[in-house]
Amino acid sequence: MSNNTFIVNTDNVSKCFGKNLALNELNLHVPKGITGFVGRNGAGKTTAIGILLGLLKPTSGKATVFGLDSWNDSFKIRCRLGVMHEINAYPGNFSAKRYLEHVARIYGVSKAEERINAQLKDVDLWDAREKPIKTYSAGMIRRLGLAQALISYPELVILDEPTANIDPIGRATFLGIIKRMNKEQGTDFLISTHILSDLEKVCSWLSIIDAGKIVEQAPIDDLAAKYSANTYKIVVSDPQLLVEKLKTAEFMQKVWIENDTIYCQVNDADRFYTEVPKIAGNLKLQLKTFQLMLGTIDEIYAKTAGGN
Amino acid sequence: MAQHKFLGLMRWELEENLSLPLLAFLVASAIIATLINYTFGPPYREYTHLYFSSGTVFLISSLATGAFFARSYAGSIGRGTTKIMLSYPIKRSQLFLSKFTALFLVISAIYLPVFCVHVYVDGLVAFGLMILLSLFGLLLQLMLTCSVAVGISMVTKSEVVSILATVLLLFGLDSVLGMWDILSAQGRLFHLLQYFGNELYDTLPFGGRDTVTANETMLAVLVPIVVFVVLIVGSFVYFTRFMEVD
Repeated sequence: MSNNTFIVNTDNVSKCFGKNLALNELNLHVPKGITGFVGRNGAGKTTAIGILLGLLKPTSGKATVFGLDSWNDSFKIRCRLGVMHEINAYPGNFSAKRYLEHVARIYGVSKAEERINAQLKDVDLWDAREKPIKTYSAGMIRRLGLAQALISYPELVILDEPTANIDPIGRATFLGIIKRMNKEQGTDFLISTHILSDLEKVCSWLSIIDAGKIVEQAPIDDLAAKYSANTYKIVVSDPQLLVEKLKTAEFMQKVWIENDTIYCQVNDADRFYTEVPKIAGNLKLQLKTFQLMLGTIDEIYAKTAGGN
Repeated sequence: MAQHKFLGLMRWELEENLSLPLLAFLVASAIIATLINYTFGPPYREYTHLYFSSGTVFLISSLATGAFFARSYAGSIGRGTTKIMLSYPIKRSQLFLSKFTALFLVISAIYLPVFCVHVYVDGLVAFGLMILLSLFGLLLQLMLTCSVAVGISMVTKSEVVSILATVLLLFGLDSVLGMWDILSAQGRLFHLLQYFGNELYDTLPFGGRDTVTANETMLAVLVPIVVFVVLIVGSFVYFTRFMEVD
């Protein structure tokens, strides 16, 4: 992929706070679609988002969003963005409805009333729309955050820890809205989180940050294959018989059975692919499943940033 | 569109910062500043009494103004509201100026009328020239206080530190300079009343003291205006061009 195909690019961006190096030559690339931006606490995710929004100035390097410089053209960028920050700093004395009215006015949203009502219903805040924000639970505030980020039909939505403090049902609803917005309106998302299980359900691209540096980024399927650790899953009519045979094979590193399913880690994938069907055939076993196990996001993360 | 957005931001600022407890605090502080003088005695119908009682008005109005501006500028940076606002398509200049305009209008709208009431209750002509001069003196003090509060807020980004620093700086300065000095709040009022009383009415409201010169009076007026302009322009440039919001 060339840099032109990405909507967000950072080119060797570094950011220092005094002597503390928060970003170390960060090269983040975000394509269209839903991107997961993953890293442990303090890895530099929020700092990177601050730079993309023009809230922070890079110490060195250049960051662009939609091809515009993030510091000098920040206003133009923000006209096309929706943002949900990790912090909860919405005015406590406002109601959700009043807050969204102010935000809609700032963005110049046409048919604002309709849009606000639709957003309030979408994020399940309709019944609480007139109550002061200070009476909301943490989950309700996150949902209000999503509503205000989406109110202007933005091209790109940046979500910083969107599902923190939300119960499982709320999380599912949240992710459902993100998926739907992407599918129906073509809205792109950059989701910064450390809750990896959420990303697996929605993301098409993953960028992993550690100690202020991108340690891996690619389409999630490519990463899953790359970090599969050559582990295969086999289901046959008599797993015990096949396992006994496989244990002595040269290409085999490790083999075990879990719930009548055979798992194999191999050191020669080509030989494994050709030999296993033959062995199963010789043993007259029915080969029901024979596939490479793709790495989960947890595994990918553990092998890239997690082990550092 | 830009004007519409500016007014919208002013409304936002007022709705956010003028919730009932805070508004009640501001109005109460203004009323207390006025009423507290009547514990000292009946109306004197003299500018000297207005001058001496103005110390309380300046003290309380500076406290409330400093707290109000520091809460809005440093407080909103500290709480993260500024970060959220600057993630919307709002120019930094719009945010800074709309905030300032809204807050200054509120403070002026509360303190200046209450001061007029104070003057009237004190037995003086509420809209005479000398009263307008007294109001001007109060306005200068409000300008000085809010510019100091905004300037300190930009540096410290902490609400509590900004309030304390503003109050200590202004009151410390007034205490060190004394109530007759051209650079102190009361000294400024003294120079205004004494100079214009002599020039326009051929009377010296503070008869026992020397007359004051035009230059001294000019200096008394110009210093807070210059400080105001320097601090507000400096804060504006810093906020719009250099400040990072973390």
